[in-house]
Amino acid sequence: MNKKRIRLRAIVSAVVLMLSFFLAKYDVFAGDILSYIYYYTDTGYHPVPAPSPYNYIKSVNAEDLRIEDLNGINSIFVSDKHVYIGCNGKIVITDHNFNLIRELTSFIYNGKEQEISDITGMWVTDNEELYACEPSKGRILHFGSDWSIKRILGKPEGIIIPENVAYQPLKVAVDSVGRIYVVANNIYEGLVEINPDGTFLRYFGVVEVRYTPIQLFWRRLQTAEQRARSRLWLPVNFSNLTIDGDDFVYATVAGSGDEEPIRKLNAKGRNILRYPVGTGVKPQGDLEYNHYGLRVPAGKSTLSAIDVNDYGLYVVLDTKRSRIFAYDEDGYMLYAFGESGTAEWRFQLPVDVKFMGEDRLLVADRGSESIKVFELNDYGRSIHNAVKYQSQFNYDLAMEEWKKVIDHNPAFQYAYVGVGKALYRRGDYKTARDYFLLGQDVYYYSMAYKKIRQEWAEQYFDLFVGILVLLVMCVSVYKIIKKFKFQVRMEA
Amino acid sequence: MIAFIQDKFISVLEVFKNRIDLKEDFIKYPFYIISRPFKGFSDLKYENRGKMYFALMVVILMCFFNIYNEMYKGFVLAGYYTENKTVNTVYVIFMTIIPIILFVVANWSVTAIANGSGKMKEIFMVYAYASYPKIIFSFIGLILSNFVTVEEAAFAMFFYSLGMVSFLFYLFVGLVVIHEYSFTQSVLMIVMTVIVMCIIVFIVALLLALSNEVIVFIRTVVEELTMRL
Repeated sequence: MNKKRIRLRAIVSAVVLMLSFFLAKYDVFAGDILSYIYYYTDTGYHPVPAPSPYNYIKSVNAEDLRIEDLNGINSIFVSDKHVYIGCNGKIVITDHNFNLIRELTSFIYNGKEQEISDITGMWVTDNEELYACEPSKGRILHFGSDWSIKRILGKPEGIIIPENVAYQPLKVAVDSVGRIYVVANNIYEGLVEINPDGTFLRYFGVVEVRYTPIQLFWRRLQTAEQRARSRLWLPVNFSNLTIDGDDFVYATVAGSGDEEPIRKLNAKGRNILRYPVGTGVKPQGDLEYNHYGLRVPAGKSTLSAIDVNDYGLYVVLDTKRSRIFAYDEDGYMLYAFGESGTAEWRFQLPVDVKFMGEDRLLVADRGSESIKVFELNDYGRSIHNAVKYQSQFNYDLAMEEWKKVIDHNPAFQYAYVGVGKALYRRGDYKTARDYFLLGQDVYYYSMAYKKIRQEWAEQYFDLFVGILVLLVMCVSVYKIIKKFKFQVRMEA
Repeated sequence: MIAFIQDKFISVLEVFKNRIDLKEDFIKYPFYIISRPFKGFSDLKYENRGKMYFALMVVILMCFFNIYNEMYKGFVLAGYYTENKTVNTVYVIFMTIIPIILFVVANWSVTAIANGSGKMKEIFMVYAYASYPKIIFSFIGLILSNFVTVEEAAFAMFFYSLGMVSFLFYLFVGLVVIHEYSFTQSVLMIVMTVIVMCIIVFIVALLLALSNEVIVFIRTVVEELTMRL
């Protein structure tokens, strides 16, 4: 009896041990989520597999929300308390646990009830006022904090667009002062900036047309008739926008092929997005891609959504290959994950991406009419924490997190740069230099190397001066002796 | 017998000793060319001052330099870092020697039919003597590249570029002198040389591709025959 009990206990403990082992593992190597990181070698950037930074939690569809459908889900917005889901004909409002709070399908304006048509973009201000774009009716709906209609912003007064072009607001963002930024269809002058009172202020952040010399050459050769019939060279439009805590507008450029597809616009409308100085590679989604495309679509990433969190970490969504890319505020890529497919954690037609709280990420998928919920695992949380500490200039804490990241993924080169930065602050320049070498960062390597060289020069400065003085003395003594000898010979 | 071999050996050594004047061949004459290229290269053609063994040494030096350049170029200039770096020496040597052969053959084939009076040996020697300053400058650049930061990288790059520019300059001058061309003729010759180099590369590539076809054909025939027999 006693023996049996011991044996049972042994089996149970073994099973528990094994389970705990698997559970611990599972926390990082999340399912089959495709994830990679760009690794720099002598032939440029190449993708290498990386652990997924997110675990797939669940997929929220109409049934879970107890509503009819999420047909044509086009945008989501996460405010401090609620999640807003913009669909075809309604706006669904839930709390952060996806319990339905309200389903807006119509509103009463001036005593008349109006149906909501398709909602393509939304923004919620800090005091829970909702702005929603309704492109088919050419207007932006402004709801109060109790979700009753407050005003309807039609085509803004004073805007200059041709008569035959309809004003179709697609995406909207509102800054802390109440200025409204709109991405509108068929408007190539940039973002439309509207005053808080609804009047047109200006066009903002124009995407310039750039010509290559070859294009200009061919255009010179064309006749006027040919020129009239060939395609217009229009500047590309923006596809989505968001605003960070400091009222900087982040926008993604529609279509692919632009040099700077992600832009951070300052008050003047200039792009001030930072990128690594060492390599000069601008944040743009995939760096290596199919040129001809057999099963994976070819060409550069097409970015269609962007969201930025409190500490400047931003994610962009590539609709072309259904991938999500994250960058820190210095423009270094942190992770890339996701792929298209019909499995639960894959995307059929992702349209929007938003952070929820500290460690959740929501992806709106129009193809499966659902919202995919992802949660940071140990690996991803370490990356986020490291970036957070770094933005707070807390380099020592950041170094601990970067070291954890390296433990999970030794191929993550930016983590070495992070560790190096902390060591550099401490004054341990030699180790910092070695880390910068591993991180392949020429810029920071130079900073560390300069310090090392300076220290070296200071250390041996006395020696150099001593040798120099000695040499001068030797030469002069030699000359004097030679002269003396010469004189002696002359006398002789 | 042993005494005879010894004598022979010593006499050979003496001949070499008389013919090889290291100071003259490796310092005086190359630097004479650097300072007075026209006079220097005409000395090469008419006074037999140029030495074939020096030219071969320069080729070997170039191979060594390119290997060291791959291996020890500073992180700032190379742009990437690898622990336990390895260099494919055979590849580097081939990539050094093949362009030389290509250039010499192309230039000779152009000038032989266009009244150039330079021999193939002379073209090769001009190439080698013109490469000498390039090796020196690039070597300075290579050393400096290990001691510069990003802001000073241009300083090391300058030496590499200077090496390249001086190489092109001395090569041009040397070819003008040994072929006895006027300026316009020699510019034309350079353009033609480049075209011929392209043609040679094209033909060699074509030859390799076609010979592969022939080999495959012969192999299939042989296979077929062995199957039948």
